[in-house]
Amino acid sequence: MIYPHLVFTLQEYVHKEVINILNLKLKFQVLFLLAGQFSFISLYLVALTLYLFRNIYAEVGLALPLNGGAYNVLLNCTTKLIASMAACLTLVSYIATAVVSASSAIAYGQNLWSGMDPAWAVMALLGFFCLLTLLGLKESSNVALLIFSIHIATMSLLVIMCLVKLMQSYDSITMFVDNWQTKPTDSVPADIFYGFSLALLGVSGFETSSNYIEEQNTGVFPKTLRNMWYCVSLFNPCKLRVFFCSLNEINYHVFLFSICIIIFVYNAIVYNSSTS
Amino acid sequence: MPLSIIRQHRDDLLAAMGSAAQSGSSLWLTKLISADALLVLSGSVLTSFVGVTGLIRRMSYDRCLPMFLSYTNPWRKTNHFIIIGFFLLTSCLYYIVRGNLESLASVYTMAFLSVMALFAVGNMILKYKRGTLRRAIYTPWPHVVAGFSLVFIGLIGEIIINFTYIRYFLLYFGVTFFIVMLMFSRNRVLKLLIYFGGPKCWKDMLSRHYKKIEDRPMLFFTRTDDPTVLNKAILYVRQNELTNSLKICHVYENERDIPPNLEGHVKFLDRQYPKLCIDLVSYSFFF
Repeated sequence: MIYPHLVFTLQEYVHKEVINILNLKLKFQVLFLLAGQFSFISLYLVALTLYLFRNIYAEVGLALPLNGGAYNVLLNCTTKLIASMAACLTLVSYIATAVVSASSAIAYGQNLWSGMDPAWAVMALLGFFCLLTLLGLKESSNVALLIFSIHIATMSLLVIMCLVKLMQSYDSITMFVDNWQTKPTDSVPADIFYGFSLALLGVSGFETSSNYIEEQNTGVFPKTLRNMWYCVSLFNPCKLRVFFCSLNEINYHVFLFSICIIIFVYNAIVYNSSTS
Repeated sequence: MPLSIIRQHRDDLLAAMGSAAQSGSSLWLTKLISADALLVLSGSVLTSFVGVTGLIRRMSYDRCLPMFLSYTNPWRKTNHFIIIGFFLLTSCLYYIVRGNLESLASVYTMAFLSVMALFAVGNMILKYKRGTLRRAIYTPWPHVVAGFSLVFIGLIGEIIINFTYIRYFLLYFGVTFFIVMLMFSRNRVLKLLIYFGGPKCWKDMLSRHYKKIEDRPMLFFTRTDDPTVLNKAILYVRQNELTNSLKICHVYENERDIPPNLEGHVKFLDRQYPKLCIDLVSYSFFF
């Protein structure tokens, strides 16, 4: 049994998680230096932004239920020139995602097989997906679900291993204190401002849902947006502590895991009650 | 994990965490996490392949990009030009930026924040111009404005933080937009080429192409015979489309449901716009 709105949330989740992995490096570098202890305010601001955008997307999605996102709405309301500007921006972001994801994938892949030449491996990965799409592979909800389950399982395993390690020594706790104390702070509004800009990176994927409206059943689109918002607003403030101690990333993933299960069950109930 | 190590492992942080969490000498956890990350990131590559195919196909149907991009092969019914083109583009880009992926990551962020801001603008215009469209959710104006300003502030912050990378963003956006602009003004470009001349067969080919672009008709589906509505459609086509033929379509169930003045108004409007050939097409269709 496939629950359409659940599936799209999963796809977006996978996408969002990818961006999180990609941007961890950036965040660690900059957010730690810039956002300081006020970054939780920034993260709540992000949740607020997404709350607002959830309705903005839903309104457009219900009024003009066509694929294409920003291109679609601008094409219907303004000239073709402005609409194609939005389309070009979307294209640029697709291109950048593909390249960055492929090369990060290979950076991880080198842990599996270190003899691999990264340049050729990236091209091979891109070529492989080129071939798959040529053969007509669409984004399959089952594949998304599989990736999602493997990811959650691996992350839970990581959590358990880290907890075991933590129990074996007190080093980690002193490290946490050290990391907390080394953070420099600038003026408070500037901290919040930069923190906000950086934290917005973690919420991409929110906009992808509007590119799939035609594939979603009627009335499903607002639900996907709502679920996404739950995820982002619940998890992002939890991720705050990640910046001070990577140990807390573990807490985040434990939390995420439990929340996802709750959302799964909830969605299944909602879906069943709405169809029956 | 101390921050110094975190900074060392910026590319594969989670895997480094895995190895830190292990007490033994075996590296199975690192391998498992790497395999998982490889899988998730590959999923993202697939998403962008599928997404880009959909968007370019739509743009090609709307004639923002060349028509040939939307051709499908008879074998698997996929848009091979888009897919192979995207592969070549991303591979070249990877080759060019090798080692400087942060520039691409920030290009991505800037692009996605601008898309969100434009979406909010689109929502405002939708409220203003198409207020009568039915929708179950209505976002209040202050919310839209607040959402737009927050994203805009975020965009500015991103640009300040990664100011060095904005030129990459402008470069990528500029190149893409240039192609679309070329597509919009393809008639003028062709005219210019014909003007500068060359061998006769070359000029003939250009003229044939030019004719082909202009002969492709646009369709407008109408329910009413209201001349203001028809005129608005004509003005839109004149301003946004490169064509000299517009077909106004009316779909009816019974012949007596056809608006009585439709034919007369279309004939009249046809005479008003000598550069645009306007035809009326009526279809009977049982819903």
